[in-house]
Amino acid sequence: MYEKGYFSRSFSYYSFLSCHQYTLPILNCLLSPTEHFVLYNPEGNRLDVLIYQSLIESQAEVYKDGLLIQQAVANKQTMTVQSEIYDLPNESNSFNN
Amino acid sequence: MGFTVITQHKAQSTNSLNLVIPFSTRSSLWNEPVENSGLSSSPYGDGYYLIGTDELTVHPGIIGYLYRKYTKTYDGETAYWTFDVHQTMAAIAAIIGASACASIAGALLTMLVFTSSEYLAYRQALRVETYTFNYTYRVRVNGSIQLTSYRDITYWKSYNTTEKTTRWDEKSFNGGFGGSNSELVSQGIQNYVNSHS
Repeated sequence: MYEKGYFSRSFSYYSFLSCHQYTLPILNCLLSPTEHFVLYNPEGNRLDVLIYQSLIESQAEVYKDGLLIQQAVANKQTMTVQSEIYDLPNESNSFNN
Repeated sequence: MGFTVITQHKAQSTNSLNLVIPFSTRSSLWNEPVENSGLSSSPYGDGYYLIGTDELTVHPGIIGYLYRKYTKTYDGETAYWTFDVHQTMAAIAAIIGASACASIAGALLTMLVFTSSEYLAYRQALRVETYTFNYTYRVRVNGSIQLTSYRDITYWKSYNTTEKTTRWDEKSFNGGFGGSNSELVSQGIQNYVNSHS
């Protein structure tokens, strides 16, 4: 049913390091995320999870070692989530640039 | 101007540290558990549990014991989600962000099992409940109560119903002693010293 070996590297523990506000310098977006969490997966990759909130929507972006790999928008009215995933590596989406 | 470091290689030292120090401050004094698990009950039969001990350098040998008991109130379920396998971390974060639990989204993500590609490894459910704890504290020195205080704190209790893991996160501090537990003990010791001087 699933791709062979898909679960072979699953993990359950992240290091929960910090939670603070952060100004996002990409996409010409002047908004600041409501929440910014930094996690580390067992492979040692840094994961930045940024959440933007509005009355209607909640948007989340996940950066892996500074590179945007996933983003999603949850709409509270329609109760739908639009999710996007990005190929790795892709320097054009670098979080640090 | 930088330091110059000189390192000497010597034979094995004969100095050792006594790791069994009576009255050493317990780590729970700083990292106080929400519930009583891991704590020992008070020998006074008063329903309190020992949080830790401390002493002041200005009053050596006078040990303050911090005890605590609590009542808790269930404030209700805040959120419940079931996330399907292969759900992206971003989608889960967005869903949590749309709830009243956005401030602990990072903590909740640590409770889920993901693949190395940041997809949910299998179907999992999270429940978040809210509890308010009314803690009362006693500082005893030589057995006598030298200080009483309280704290009212509301917590998120997050539970991964699939993994059977639980974590507590502070939601709000509602009132009571605002200092550290060491300060609480210090005040108790000072009260004892003042009453015996």
